Amino acid sequence: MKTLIAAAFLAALVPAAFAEAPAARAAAPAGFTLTLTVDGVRSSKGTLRAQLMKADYASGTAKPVGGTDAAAVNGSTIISFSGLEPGDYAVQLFHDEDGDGEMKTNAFGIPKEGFSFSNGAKATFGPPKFADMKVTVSADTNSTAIMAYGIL
Amino acid sequence: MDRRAFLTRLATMTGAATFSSTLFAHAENAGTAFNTARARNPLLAGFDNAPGDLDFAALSVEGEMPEGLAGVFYRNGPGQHSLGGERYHHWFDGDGYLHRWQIGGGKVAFKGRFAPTPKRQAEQAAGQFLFSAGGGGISARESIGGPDAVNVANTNILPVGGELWALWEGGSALRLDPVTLESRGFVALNEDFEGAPFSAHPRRGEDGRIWNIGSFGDKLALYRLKADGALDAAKVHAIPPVGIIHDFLLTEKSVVVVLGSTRVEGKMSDGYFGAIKGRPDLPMQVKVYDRETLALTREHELPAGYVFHFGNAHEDADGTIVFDMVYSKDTDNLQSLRAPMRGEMPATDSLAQLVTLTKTGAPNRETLRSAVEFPRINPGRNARRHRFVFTAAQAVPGKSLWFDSVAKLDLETGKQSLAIYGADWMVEEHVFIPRPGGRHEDEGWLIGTALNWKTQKTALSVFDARRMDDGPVARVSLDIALPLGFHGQFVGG
Repeated sequence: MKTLIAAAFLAALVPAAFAEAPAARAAAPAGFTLTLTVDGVRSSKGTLRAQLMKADYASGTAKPVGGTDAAAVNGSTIISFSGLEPGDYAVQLFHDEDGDGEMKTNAFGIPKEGFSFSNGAKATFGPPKFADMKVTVSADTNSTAIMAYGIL
Repeated sequence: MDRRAFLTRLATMTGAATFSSTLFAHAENAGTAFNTARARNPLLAGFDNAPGDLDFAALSVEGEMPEGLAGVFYRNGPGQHSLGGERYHHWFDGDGYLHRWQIGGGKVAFKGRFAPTPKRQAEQAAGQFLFSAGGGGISARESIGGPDAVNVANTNILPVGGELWALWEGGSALRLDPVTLESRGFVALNEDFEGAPFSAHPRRGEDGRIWNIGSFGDKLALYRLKADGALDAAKVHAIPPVGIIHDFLLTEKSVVVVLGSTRVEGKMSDGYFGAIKGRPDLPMQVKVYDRETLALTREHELPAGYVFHFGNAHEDADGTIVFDMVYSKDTDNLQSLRAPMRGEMPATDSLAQLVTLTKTGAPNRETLRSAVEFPRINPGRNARRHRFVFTAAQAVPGKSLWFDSVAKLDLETGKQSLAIYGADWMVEEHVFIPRPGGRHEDEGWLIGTALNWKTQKTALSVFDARRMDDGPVARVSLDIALPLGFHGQFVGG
């Protein structure tokens, strides 16, 4: 699965991003917190399940580096990741309304449960580019995500 | 599926290789170009917005509505091409606008309503378009959660199980009250196919059952429904990512799907449609599936081209399949329908053709007439041998800017007859209604709408299908122009 997700991100990391890659700041202290406010949560049923991705400019991919679950709160739900090293991150999440731990899809692979992305990135006819959901963490950082649901 | 596969799955919404966010930088303002052209060209009334809710209780009838013609004629088509200063770039993108023409006792009443989709409700409340569109040109203000979040229900109508389904091809059917046209929510065929594409040209077999397709990316779903609309069987097949498969064919044995010479392989620089590239180097592929098992039985190739609509098909005992289609050699035909959004009339190179596919030999094609669209037949001949096809047509093919006539093509004798509206009219699809108790295939009426661009009024006309050149036996004119639409269905009773 790691390979799959990396492949999905490969196209998203545009070459220009490499030029912007921060110079090695290995000495920077670890331990920052990324707080994501997820808006548009349509019910308090189930759980928001979030995956944190980190850009790896050496390989040109983004790799999953962590996951956090939060009980869904109708309206807005807060999700946070702590202990982060500096870097470029992205969060993708889905609303596991039925609480089965899985992102339900239909026979076409189209999501049946709501989803959202960090930096307010929007899905148009597919997921956003990494650059659009990118959150640069060099201190404690806030970002927002807006839920979209496909089954109405 | 776990969240690790999440993005990969999302990417399959359109085919991962082609995904990129829409480039809005060159989204010129189609609205400005349209408004400038519209001031000079009255034909462009056909691409204005529909006016909203309309109710006309008792319309005056020119001529006489035939005795025996009683029921409701429904139509669907895009009716909201612009909003909040933005205009769509493709004719297919606007919210559905539904006509309901009630005919009986010599009287006619009209009701017009927009298809009440969640997309429309959200955008009307916001006063602007919120979602990126198939044809591009609109800034995405909200994420698209799935096909039904942008479902416009604008293409066709399926009367089924005592209700109406308003159809689009990217997502679910929208259930409507057949009288009020109010929403009863999206159809969930079953858990596996909830929110899946269900195309806008379902076909009823001679036995009343319904077949349909749905396509997305590199997947094609075949659906079989019971006569009341309940899902009976469904199967997903892998296909090349052609982008749009608008229509298909049904015989007494087979489901016949023609894949056009297109591939989703470009960047989405002008919406998803912009990524669907014409590939004149590729043949059209014909996939034949057993209509009971839904398994692939055979394949054929046809010359490169593109087909939106088919009339009807039948299959002989030796497996020979014969069908009629409206064929375009231009594999970028889909893109040509952007023209009216910027105020230009679209070009057409369409040909009505009769195709014969023997089980093993080379396909035979015979051209019947040029400059046609919207083929319809006597529904009593569905999936069986038909003799007559009725199409929107041009009295002198190639000499009009839109359709000005309805053609009747006799596949047996080659004879063609025309109901000519005249140069002032833009003619839409006409639907064949069999005369109750009639004995001949062409015994019945043609009913359809047309826009008189000179008077700027839309009218409903009825023709005797055996006396096409007599002109309409009845005509009902609205005092208003409605935008040109796509497809209609008649429900008798």
